[in-house]
Amino acid sequence: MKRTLEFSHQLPRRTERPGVECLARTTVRIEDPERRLAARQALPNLQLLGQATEGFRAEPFPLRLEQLLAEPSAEDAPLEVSIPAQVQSWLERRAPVTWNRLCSSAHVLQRGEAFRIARTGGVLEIDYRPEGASNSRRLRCPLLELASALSGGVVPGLSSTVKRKDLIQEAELLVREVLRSRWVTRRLPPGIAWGPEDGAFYLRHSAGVRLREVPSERQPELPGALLLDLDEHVQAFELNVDPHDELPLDVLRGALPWLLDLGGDDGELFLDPSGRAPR
Amino acid sequence: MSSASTLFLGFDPSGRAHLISALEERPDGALGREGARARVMLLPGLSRLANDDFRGRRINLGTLLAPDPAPDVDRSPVDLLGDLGSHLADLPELGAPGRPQDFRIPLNVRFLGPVAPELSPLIPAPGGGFFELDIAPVRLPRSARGGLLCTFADLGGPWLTSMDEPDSQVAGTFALLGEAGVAGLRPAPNSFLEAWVLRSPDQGGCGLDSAGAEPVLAELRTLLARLLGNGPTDSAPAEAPAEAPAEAPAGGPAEGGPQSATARVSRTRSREGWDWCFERRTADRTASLTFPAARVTDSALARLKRAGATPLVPWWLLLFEQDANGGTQLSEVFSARPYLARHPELWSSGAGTPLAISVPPDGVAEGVADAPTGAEDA
Repeated sequence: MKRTLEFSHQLPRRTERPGVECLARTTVRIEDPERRLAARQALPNLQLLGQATEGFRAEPFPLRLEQLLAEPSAEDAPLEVSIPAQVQSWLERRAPVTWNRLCSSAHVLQRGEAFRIARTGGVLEIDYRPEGASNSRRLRCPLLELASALSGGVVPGLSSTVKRKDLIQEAELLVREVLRSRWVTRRLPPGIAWGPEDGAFYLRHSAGVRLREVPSERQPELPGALLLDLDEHVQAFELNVDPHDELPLDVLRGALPWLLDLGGDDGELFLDPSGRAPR
Repeated sequence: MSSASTLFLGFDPSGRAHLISALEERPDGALGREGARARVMLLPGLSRLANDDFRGRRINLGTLLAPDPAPDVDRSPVDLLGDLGSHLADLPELGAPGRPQDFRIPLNVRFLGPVAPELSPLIPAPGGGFFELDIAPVRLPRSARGGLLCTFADLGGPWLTSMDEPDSQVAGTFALLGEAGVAGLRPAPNSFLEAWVLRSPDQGGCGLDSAGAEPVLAELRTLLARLLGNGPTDSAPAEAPAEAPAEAPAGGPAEGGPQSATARVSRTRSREGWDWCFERRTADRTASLTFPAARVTDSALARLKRAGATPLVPWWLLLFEQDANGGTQLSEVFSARPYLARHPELWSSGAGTPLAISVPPDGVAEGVADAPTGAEDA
């Protein structure tokens, strides 16, 4: 008999009840192919799947977990836990007892395909978790790394070569807004001007910094690099976004404005392959 | 869905392009207040523009063209249009199939003026594609001639240009309005009154030197302004002699002594419009100048004066229409932007013969009261 504890995409909730770390919305699925039995939720009295309540209930953890782990008979497979990445991350940080119990006695698998974009101590991490996987794959994206640096107020490569602080600030604003308008909004904001004659973006109130896009050689429909021209210094930012990479463009579009608006703080974002919050 | 943007350009007397308005037509009915094809007007010179830009962002053409309008004055039309287009039109989505240099972003350019600007139909857009310009004039109804008045001091002072092939009655009216200082206009550099006052007597002029001309000119312009907004315009019979001339003793300071001079301005209704007669009479001779101009209705004049006192609404459309007798008359003055939004048949491409304009009776009052809320649906 195969038993699966499935977590909803909704985040768990902390509680003060004794012996209960949190309330999580879950459902239990029990399948017994030999006896052609399938049911949801109603342990210990199995109901036919069609009669059982669909959907998720708020369950007190880890009480519910202990009950589930105690019930199986010897021939049963280990409990499978199907859990969305954002719930997993929440449990790891805020319900460590439950999380450790899950990891030690159940088979934890990813529910739904998800991308995790996290900024921790100024360092960007991008993880990919395929549906049903038990671990994640680390991805790299120079474009998001640039956005992460900008959100911390840093323009990579400039602090050592350019002395004028005001120019660095202007460069940060220009690169940030051009990234946002090219990838997300598809329109320039009022403060950014476009010079069709030299193909450069610049700040409307100041012409000291100019930014040009260079098409990617591998993927000509995407920019491969940005060239920032300031104070007789040209700084190149490699973007190298590859649509055949594991990071879909929609995820990139979803993560970019979030990163740019992070303002240097740490944070974590989960997106499905269409760039939306997993549901 | 993409949206189509239309930019309206006016050209000042020195041929520089100015953005009068931008209209955005949206095919998505869900977001427009008035249902499908809502138009969002983006107005230069105001602080708040699009009320409900569908990405939730406000586009501020005021800062787009300003904060200091001076730099824009020297931008080439290509530079200005490319810049405006990248704020008003949807740029191609990154990663969309196809080569970026093949992307075409349609942009309608409608100009208010007699000559088409010489523009390349393709202007580089961000990302390697091009804005594809559809350039056409704003076509007034066949019976109408028009002019464009800018009253925004920051754009180099008030000025007035013709929108059509030059018509002597219309051009004369522009010159006359400039001499009279209506709507804050200044006399054209080649002021006809000044030329007449300075011209030698044997060529029909007054023969004054430039120092002596100044008070005489001021006197004539004051009389002209007084008469221009005075008296019935349509009740006078066609062949009536001088009606209600304005007259004043004008000193001849250059000559000095007891010799005195009289300035006189009068108008006669001619077949086409008005003949304005300027006279300067001294003891020994009389110099006179007849100047043809279109008739000006009192209501249009009142609106023009109000337009001059409305700095927030800088663009005005002057409509000259043929009356039943074949004469020309300045009959309507509109705030150009709401008028253009209300009459897409004047500027949308592919339309047939322009229809006759139906003028809302309160059209101009609405224009003057054009509050800077920024957006208006057609």
